[in-house]
Amino acid sequence: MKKIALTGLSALALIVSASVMADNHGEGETEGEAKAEAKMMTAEVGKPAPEFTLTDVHGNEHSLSDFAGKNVVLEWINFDCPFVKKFYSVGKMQEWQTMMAEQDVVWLTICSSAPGKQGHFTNFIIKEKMKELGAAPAGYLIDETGEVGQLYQAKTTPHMYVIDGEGVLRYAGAIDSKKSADPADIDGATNYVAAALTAIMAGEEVEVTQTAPYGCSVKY
Amino acid sequence: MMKESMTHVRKLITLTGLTILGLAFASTMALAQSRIVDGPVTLQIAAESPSAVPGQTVSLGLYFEIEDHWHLYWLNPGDAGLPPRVRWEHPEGVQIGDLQFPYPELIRYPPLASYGYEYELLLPFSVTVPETAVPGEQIELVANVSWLVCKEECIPGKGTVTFSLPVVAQAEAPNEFWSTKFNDTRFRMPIELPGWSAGVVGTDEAMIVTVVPPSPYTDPLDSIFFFPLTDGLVEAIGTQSITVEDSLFSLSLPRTVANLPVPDTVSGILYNPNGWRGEGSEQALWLTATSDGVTTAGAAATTDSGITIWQAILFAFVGGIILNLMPCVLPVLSLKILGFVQQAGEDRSKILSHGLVFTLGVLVSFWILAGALLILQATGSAIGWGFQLQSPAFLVVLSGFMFLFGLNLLGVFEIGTSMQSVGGQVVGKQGNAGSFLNGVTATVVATPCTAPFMGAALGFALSQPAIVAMGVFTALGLGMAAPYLVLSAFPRLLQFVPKPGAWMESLKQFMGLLLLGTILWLSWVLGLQAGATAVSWLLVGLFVLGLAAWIYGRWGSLARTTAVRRSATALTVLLIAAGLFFSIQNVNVEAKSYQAGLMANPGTTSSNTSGLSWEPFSQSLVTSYLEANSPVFVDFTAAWCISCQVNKRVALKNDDVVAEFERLGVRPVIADWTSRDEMITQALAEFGRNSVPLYVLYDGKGGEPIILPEVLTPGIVLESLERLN
Repeated sequence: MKKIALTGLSALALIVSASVMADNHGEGETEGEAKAEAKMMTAEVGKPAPEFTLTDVHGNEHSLSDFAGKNVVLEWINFDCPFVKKFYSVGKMQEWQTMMAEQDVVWLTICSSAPGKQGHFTNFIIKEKMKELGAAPAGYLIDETGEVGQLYQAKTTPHMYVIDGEGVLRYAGAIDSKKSADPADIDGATNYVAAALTAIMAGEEVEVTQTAPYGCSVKY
Repeated sequence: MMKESMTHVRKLITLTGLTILGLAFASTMALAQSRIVDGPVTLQIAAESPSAVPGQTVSLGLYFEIEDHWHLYWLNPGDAGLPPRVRWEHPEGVQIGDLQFPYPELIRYPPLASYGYEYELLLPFSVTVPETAVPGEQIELVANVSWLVCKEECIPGKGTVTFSLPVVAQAEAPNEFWSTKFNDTRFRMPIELPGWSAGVVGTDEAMIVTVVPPSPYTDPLDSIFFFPLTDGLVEAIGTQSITVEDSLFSLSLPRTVANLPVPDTVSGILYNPNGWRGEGSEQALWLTATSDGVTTAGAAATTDSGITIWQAILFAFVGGIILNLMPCVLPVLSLKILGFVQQAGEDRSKILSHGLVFTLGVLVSFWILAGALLILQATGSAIGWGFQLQSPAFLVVLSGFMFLFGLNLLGVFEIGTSMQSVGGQVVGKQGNAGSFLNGVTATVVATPCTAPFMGAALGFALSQPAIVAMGVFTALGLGMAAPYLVLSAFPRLLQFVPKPGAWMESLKQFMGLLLLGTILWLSWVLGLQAGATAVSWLLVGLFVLGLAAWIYGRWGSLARTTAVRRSATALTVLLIAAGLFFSIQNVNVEAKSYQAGLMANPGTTSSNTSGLSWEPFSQSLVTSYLEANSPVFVDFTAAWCISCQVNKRVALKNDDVVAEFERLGVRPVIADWTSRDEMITQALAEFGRNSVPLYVLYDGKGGEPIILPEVLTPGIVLESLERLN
């Protein structure tokens, strides 16, 4: 009787361990494959943010490297996009820009609309609009060719990026958690940009590092 | 003067203009009730049928007309956008289902792209009118809809549309115009096909979706496209490249590091302009791809049951052991015990060889069944485990087999005993043949009852390449034979079995009676399938077999001269063949006309009548109940499945269970698989099963369906029902 029990048990153990081994083997290879892929130079969360140089509405050039040591926010914009209007019409985006500036965060607004496409304006009109809205970014940068937009794979307006003082991209994606064009949805949504900056300033890991952005498509 | 009149004219024009504007405004206000125009979008609620009767579930839909060049969005809008959303206001008691989205198209705006709809979009939803509604009343539905419509630029739209659904006493014919639109949209809804599984793996550069059809897919695949439900995973505009291997194919969807990590499960629509079920069939297939659905072997070892080969083999082995305890194996179980009692007197090596031969008998039967199943499945037949009992001819043959076996045990005739007395050296051989036959009988009778674990293992096996499936079936057979193999390998255990003696003859005859008893069950199954006349034909066949057995027993024994013996044997064979032949032929004719009668008058077979009012299963019935948020209990059963019958009697007809069903408003649905039924076979396959019983409880709130164990007690059922609260 003992012998049967022993034989049965060891057979069971064999089968179980064989199945576990088969499982582990499978996972190992999948991981290896994923790591074997080398990557080209686009913006990747956790890696140094790609360098760029753009001209602002006042004709001044700005490079990302100019702001080394400071936290930087990149905001993709198109003033005629309802999702951008959602935040500007109720003064929210302006409020955050001012608030960040007080925290020594550099807020750069970038427009990648191609000439003739929606959201592309003359510098004069942009300055008027900004004055009217009370927008307060550290710079409104023009990216007519869409080069920087594509370097950062900006897909929507708004599409937000947070870069820390070391120049590492720490967050990329939606501005908040409620996908809508209704300003009523701003309160009650989780603001991912604010959350990322708060974590960076506290020296902590950013909890949500990447989300699917929402909004209008960037008019390349 | 001139100036003055000019001013008058201007005033007049302005006034007229204002009036026209006012009128236009007023009329839009009035129209805003049922149809609104907002920029490039016109929205209204459409109904397939002009009215509904109390208790009915009807299809309504949000119907958007979209100006040229503009588009609305799918659930995953692609790179940018938002799907339409709705918030309902409706009278209490009316139940409204979720919006159903047809497959989208890829709308390209390089370097970006969207998944959306152009020109028009119908989003159907179900509306269930309460039983308490009174004909003549109107059900007022108010839809607060928001959407985003874009071409180069985007306009968020918002509006409220209303609809009055008249409640009538008699159902009316559907509106032809809308019915066409609803049918077109239904054709564009993703379908789920049984047996299809998929794996997904994500790298920095691509998300690879591997699709394993139940059998190699031979139609062209060059234009297929995968729309993932989750946004942000892939470059929407990227070219999806396809690789076809023998039995599977993979799609590579381009990614960049800017995309989100690929999760463990990715659902979505796989679009094929050629149709998934041949020319002109549905083009959208719903796929759920999982990360463990892809194995490194590269073979088609993908499973939708979510278990590995080793687990399946282990389950199959354990399931095989448990098979011995199932009610439908019991008569054979006693036969086997009898066999061991007889062998108890023999020496050890003989007993071991009996055990081995018995095991071989079980295995060979499993292989034959599995082989037949695999071949039939490969030829596209929708069948499943236990299918052999769905064939009336098989029932006749099995009954005949049982009958002859029973008569043999009752002593009407003997096989081999005469030989035993002639030459001792062939005794072993004859005994081995007996053991082999025992193994075969045990398997044939046991198969329709699935033990716990076995369902999943079989479902897995049948979605596998033949070699893996055979491995699983082998494990199943080994499991079933294991207790006897152990007994024969360690015959010391047999000391607990009483010594042979005169009591054995009584036991043998009793076993014979038990075997005859199984014919009661088989003829009952046949009666359900083919009607009472067919059962009479079966009995005629058995009578002829009985005659044959009696002739063989009387004149076929070695006590007779060779000439007599030979004629008796020949006559016996002739009678058996003729009896079976005529019986099968007539039973088949009966089955056809009986089933044709059932088609004309369905719902009469339902053998599950007492207590609850069980409705015959259809996927649309279940879906409509679920859309109406009512919980549903589906009993996948068959008359030939004794476990099912036991469960029904013990648990499903239990007064407490019935009361609880009624209290919670659980809709009882019976899927009767007694006869072959394509729809039920498919529904089983969706749960990775190939056999009954299967009990599924839907909570009606969109949660995962709860699968109950194969062996039910009132406690188990009540416990699962409690989870609905």
